[in-house]
Amino acid sequence: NLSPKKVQPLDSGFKRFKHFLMRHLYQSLPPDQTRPYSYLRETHQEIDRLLKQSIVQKESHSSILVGPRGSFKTVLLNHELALLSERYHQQFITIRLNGFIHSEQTAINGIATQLEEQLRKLHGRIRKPVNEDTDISNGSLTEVFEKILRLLDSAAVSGSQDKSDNESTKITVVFIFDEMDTFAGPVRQTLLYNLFDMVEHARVPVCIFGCTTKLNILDYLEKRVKSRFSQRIIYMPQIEGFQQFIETVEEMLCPPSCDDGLKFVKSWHSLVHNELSKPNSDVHLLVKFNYETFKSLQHLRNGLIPLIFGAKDYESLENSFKTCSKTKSYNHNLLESSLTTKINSLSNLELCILICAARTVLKAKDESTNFNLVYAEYEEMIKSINRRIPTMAPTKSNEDTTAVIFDNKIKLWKKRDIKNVWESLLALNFLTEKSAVGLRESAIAAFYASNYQFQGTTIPFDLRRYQTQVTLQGLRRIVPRSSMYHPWTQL
Amino acid sequence: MSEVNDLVLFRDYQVETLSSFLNADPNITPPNLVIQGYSGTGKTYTLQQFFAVNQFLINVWLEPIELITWKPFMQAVARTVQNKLKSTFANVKTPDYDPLDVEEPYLLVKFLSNLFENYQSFLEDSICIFLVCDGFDSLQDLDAALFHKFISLHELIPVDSKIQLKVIYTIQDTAFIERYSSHNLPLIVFPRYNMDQITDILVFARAQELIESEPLRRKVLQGQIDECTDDEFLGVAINFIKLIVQAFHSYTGNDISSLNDLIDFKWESYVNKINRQNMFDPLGLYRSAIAIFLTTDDSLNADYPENNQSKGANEATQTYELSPISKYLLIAAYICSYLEPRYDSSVFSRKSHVKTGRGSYGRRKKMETNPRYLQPSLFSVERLLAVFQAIFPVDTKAQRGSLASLKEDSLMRANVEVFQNLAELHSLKLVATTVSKNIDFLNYKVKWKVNVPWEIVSEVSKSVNFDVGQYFIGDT
Repeated sequence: NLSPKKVQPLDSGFKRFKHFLMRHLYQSLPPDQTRPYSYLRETHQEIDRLLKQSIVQKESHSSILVGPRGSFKTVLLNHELALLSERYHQQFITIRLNGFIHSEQTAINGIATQLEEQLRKLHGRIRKPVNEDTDISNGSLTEVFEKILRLLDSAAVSGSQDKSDNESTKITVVFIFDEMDTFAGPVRQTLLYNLFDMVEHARVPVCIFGCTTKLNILDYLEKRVKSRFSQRIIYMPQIEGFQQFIETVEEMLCPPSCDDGLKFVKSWHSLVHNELSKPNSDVHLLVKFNYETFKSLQHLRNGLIPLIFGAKDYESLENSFKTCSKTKSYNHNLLESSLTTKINSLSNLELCILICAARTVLKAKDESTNFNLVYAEYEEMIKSINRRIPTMAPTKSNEDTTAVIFDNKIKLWKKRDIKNVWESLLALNFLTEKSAVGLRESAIAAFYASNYQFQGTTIPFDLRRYQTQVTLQGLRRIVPRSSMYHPWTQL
Repeated sequence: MSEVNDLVLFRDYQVETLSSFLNADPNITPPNLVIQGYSGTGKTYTLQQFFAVNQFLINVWLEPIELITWKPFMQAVARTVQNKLKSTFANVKTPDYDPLDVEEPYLLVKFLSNLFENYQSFLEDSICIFLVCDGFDSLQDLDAALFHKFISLHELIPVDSKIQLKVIYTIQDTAFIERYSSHNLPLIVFPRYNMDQITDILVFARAQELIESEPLRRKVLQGQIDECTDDEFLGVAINFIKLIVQAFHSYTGNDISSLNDLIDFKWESYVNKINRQNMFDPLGLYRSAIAIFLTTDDSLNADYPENNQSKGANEATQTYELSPISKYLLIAAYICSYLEPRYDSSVFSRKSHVKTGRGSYGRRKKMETNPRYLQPSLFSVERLLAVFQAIFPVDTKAQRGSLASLKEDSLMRANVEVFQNLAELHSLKLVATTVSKNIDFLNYKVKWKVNVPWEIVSEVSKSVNFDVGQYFIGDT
């Protein structure tokens, strides 16, 4: 299987089926073979209607899709555009902007480059490449913006654009904004204003789709921007009820058609259906668990991929699907860096210091501690433990074994040795600096922070104040009862 | 994948899951894959072995820790991807783009789409190029928006491109990943090893190297231990590694690199204890080398007081080479920071009173927590000078009762040197002020505090035969 730089030759039927199934899971099949999930159908039709109205009938529209992450906003739009581009390829160009990647300034350049690129592709296939277009994205920012505006605002003015328009109809420009709320910032909103203004006034048909996760996206928009927006907000539908979730999972797992005679499809369909409808099968329980916690198809899918990929033949796929052990171990693995697992992975000294830190935090009024206090607590704790346990009688009479003293006392580590332990607890995020701001939200805030010298870095190591991530009560529940330190998990 | 499993211990699940997510076909490969694990959990090693076995997967590596901010990071992405494509498809003539033009996130998108466009007609099938960002969260100027930029990169690169960029992130901090959990990126967690796994890994990685090390060879030649087989040497090395782990596991935790360091530090002195008798007697060898298993010796200070006998000889070498005035100023600053001003007069007053009046009673009750454990409090510079004068010893040269003694000061004045020394202490960061930019020392609002821990002050005071401890007896 070390075929260089080639997709596997798809020798056997099963491999082809597996590949097909994987592509179906990733929704990367060709657009005519994918079908959006049935609970999204109405939204899909709505988007379809809007896009067709603006691409076929050349109307201008704007609308905003609102839904949480992973609610198939981008998937639906991409799918619809892919379908339409097969029939109406010459009729429209798509411009994508992403609020994370484009800022207000760079979005203008982004529009210009994409416009240029798309027009060249379109024209290049009609006739020879049009060279005048190359200068849309050249020049200063204001020039570029003006050119775009002129081009879009009135098709009659623009040079090369109207040549293609004259012979047929105008070309629709479809804008897709991801994370639209970042463009709807507190200052100015120039870009959104101009684009929404085009929807109202320009002669080029413009269709704008904004995707956002904010439910109150209209509150972000300025008054003048809001008045130009068509007020059409599409809320992405959510799965209602467990039954619908099960059905959607079945759709997710079953490829819709088997045009090239894949013999496994039918039995796979019935297997999936049977397993999902049995209320106490492992798959059903897994889906149920996902429904009650995440309610996320993507999360479920991530777990199913190792299961399907790991199958060698159809029988093993069947078996592993029935037991779902791979998905279970995927879900288990996700939790292996959780706080509980981290605590269980500590050495006994580290655990002891953590308990001491939690004790001092609980005693303190402001719930903070420092290394000195923790070491004092540790010292006292070890001394108290050693006082209580009976030590073995020292073997004084035997002169030979003076070098090796067997006793069951607990070693009291020195202060400078504990510093290493303290640092590793810091590295594992059990302790955070008091009133620290961890990750800054934006690059500019991170830049300001890097120019500022914090007080915590200038004072000596022992005196820096920390807060713990886990409380003593929490530790009491995690530390096993058999542990020597368990009695110390309460004051 | 069995080949990778032979090279990587205790990571079977991770390797298997990696291979199910990373494929040559971009259609069945997710655009982003996150690998999480704390340091020393074998993330990089496993990934490297994985790509070494699956050589047909095109992969490029970046280490964000050496790229500091986002701009060099994005430029490095552009540069490495372009170089990799050029070396992989050497027969394609492509124009060179300048990676340094990437000054904005969207320019990276433009760069990559232009770059991939050149290979569009050359390639028949679409391929993946894997970009490994090894330690994404170790970028120094990291902010929360950067990861969003990277994970949505693939949405802006054309879908029908023959080359698809797939990004793999290795991340240490779980709190960082939890910020982006609603994106539901596929995630593989590398949990921390436990003690047995650590021992096995260290034996697997180090034992052979220890046997072939120079000290052991020399010792064997010197001691003429010639009746030994390789297996017995191996036994000695494995036994040593196990002893190190057992002795220092609670000190290092499950941290491979610290244990590796300790092995390197202590192997030579362990080897020196080997002789003909204890070569085959592990317990005997352990007994004769007991000293190296009792202390960590994890310090670069050769004269650390714990592990040398001639303590008196080292008394002269001090922690700090400060002038006596500086030393007393430091002690005075420590006293000012940790004793309350209201008890000063009961502690330091020695004059016999000419006028009537009561002296201060001093503290009635002990404090609950030792103030020396807490942060120093602020004081004004006048109080520092007063305490300094109270503790600074002045030897009166003039004879008692002579006329010269009238002229001589029995107490130290705050002369030029005192202020110079104070300023120098501040620039050495041994005393600090309230933090603000462009601090004005002459302003009456400026308060001071000491910036050294108790251990150093007590050592400094010992060097001038001043017992600073007696001022803090009543505290706890």
